[in-house]
Amino acid sequence: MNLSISYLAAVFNSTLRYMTPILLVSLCAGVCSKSRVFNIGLEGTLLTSAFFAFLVQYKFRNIYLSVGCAVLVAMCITFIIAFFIVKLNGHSMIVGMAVNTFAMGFTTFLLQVVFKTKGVVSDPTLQGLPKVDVSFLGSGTLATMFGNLTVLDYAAFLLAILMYVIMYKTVVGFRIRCIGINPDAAASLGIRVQRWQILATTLSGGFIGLAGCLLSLGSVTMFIQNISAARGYVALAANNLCQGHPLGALASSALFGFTTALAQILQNTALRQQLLNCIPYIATIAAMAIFNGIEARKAKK
Amino acid sequence: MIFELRNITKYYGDTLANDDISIHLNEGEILCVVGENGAGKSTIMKILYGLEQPTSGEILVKGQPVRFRNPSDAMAHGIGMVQQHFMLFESLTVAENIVFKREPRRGPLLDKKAMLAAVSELSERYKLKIDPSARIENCPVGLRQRVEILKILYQNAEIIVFDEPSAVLTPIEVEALLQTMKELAAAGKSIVLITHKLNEVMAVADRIYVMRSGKLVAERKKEETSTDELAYLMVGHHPATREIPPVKTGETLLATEELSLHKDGRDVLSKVSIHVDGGEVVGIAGVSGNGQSELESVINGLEAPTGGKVLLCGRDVTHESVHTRRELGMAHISEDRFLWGGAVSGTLSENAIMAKEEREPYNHKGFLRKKKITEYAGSLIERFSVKASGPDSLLGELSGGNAQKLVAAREIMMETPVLICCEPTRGIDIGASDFIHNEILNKREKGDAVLLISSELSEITTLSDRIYVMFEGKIVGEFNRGAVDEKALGLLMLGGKIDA
Repeated sequence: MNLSISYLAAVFNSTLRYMTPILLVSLCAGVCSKSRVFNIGLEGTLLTSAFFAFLVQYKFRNIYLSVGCAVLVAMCITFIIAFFIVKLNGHSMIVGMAVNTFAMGFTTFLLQVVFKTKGVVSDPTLQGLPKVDVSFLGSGTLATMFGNLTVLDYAAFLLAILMYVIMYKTVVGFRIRCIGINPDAAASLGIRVQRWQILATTLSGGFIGLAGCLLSLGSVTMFIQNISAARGYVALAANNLCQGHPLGALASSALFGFTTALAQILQNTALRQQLLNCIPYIATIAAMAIFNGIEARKAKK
Repeated sequence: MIFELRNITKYYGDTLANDDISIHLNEGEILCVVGENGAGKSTIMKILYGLEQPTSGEILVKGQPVRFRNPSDAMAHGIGMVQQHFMLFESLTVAENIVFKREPRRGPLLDKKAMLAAVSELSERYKLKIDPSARIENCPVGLRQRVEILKILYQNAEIIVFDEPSAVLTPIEVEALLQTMKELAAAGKSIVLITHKLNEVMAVADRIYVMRSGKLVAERKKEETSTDELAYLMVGHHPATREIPPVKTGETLLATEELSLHKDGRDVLSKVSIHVDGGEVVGIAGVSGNGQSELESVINGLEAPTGGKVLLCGRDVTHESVHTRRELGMAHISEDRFLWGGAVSGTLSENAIMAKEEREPYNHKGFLRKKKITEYAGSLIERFSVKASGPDSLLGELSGGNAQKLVAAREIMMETPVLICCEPTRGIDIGASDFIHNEILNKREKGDAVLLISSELSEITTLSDRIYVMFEGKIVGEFNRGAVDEKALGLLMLGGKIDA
């Protein structure tokens, strides 16, 4: 294997590209877990918003409209999830699974109806998300590292920092965290806990919309059946690793971005493709096992 | 007069919880409301804090009639409550807990400097020492309560209601709390203390209301009354002198030998050796949290001791399972009927045959026989006069006292040689507790051994043939019936010594 600098730069670049959708989804997962709404419907939300981002772009050829629409769709779905869990006291596991299963069927169905296909739909004339121009970096290693990234990829990092400020520095974030720690205590001081929970999670659902755009309008402009490919679950794991901390999410989603990139790099080696595809998921399980092991040991002390 | 309840009556369904109660509170005074469990104290407390609305009657704050639909309404009128179960954010700091809902801010940001300053200022003003940046999860109970008090003061409460505040505290913490109450009153706050602990009342009260079965039966100034009078007023008669016939004690049925338990870096039990003989009720007296519940779970087999032995009917069961111990002859009335004692969402029938579900005639070749079970549950309900619509109603629908009766019935009917009772009458009315006490004594007369763990001293002294006193995980005294008075016991429970 050739481990030249330019090669490592390319790995770095694809790590960034793979991690940003996971990062955005785990930002949402972070808000959900901090406000004590256990949302496993992230996967279905991501898939549906990726589909609508593509569909709107295909029909109207307006990138702003597509992104806006994807964000709106994601927020709507997250609202439904939150409403069912918080207000109607539905079991979070069932609500989430219902959304995920529905999203899978719904997007496949629409794919059939709108595009008359079952698998992949792509249109070479379709514009994806605008790329950030890094020509000022020249054409060397730096350009390889940071090139070919869309506006939303960069936005993801800024949003993580913004979420850190909101959750840990503002009064609003303080209250959301308090609600998550002890909803009864918050309610005893006259906070409308349910309203806060639903509002916070719904707004954070917008991040999933952005992640959806990255999937179908990012480095490639196409929609593939089940394009989200369990990234929603991976983000859930990433969020668990960082305990809902937005800056921690940067690290944990980078881990998953890197393992996915690794699977790509190792493609031309003797390892079987199917095995390689498992790497990110094996990494997820391993990371969770290690993390929980450490936590359990801490708790014992 | 800062606050007044006028002719408050409260019905729960058909049950009259408060009957025409009128009380008032003056500025800067400490007012105590005393009464037995079930006397209506907690209902009054809930009404004045907006958790319940009265069926009829008026609430006046500073002479103005008000309505409290929820606790925030009460808080808006300057009434704060120190809850028995703390409402705190465990993983946050003391300061963050105190400022919640009225956070100092700089634009949208939480102003941490101002927060720390405000909290330190508050803590100095009321002489309630705390470390603003300590995390609640690392604070002992007494400190957490202090945080609760500061939280209420930060919300600008003028009236502070304490609901049985000393139940969870150690004696030293109780002392500090009473001192705090006096200081708050001196600082112009008005205090309502709801309790049934008369020594605390006599230590701090200016004025005392006594409640009994939903009615206000007396109002006294502290100087005009005594613990004895208050006790008499609370119960309505002089404590019944129950005839407890002497029973010849048999052999030792339950014993522990130098039982130790090391947990969370401290010795919660150290070398506890006790024995209970047949025909004997043995009481363990102590302030809650001095190792009694650990002793309970080690004897039951829920927790393994780090040293020592548990002997049941002469057999070493230290390493036996709960099931084996029960089969060998142990039954257990646990402290919390809804958490440990029974299944809240199960029917009375189901709860009644728990632990008998593998036995004939309730189980025939692996099938449960509904008819036999219902019959049995019916018989328990009748014999123990459990107030319920029938064997099919759910345990959770029952009042605490009735649920406790059912759990007690189930365990007593196991007819085991050893019965362990933990706080068997906590939070239940006098009728039900008298009933359970009688059943415990019946068991004793049959020659069985009963271990009674209770923080209610009067329960221990009336029932027990022998009393052990526990303090900080150790047995610090052993007395036969009548060999010691409550005062001396109380002293021992607080870690003091009695001159022999």
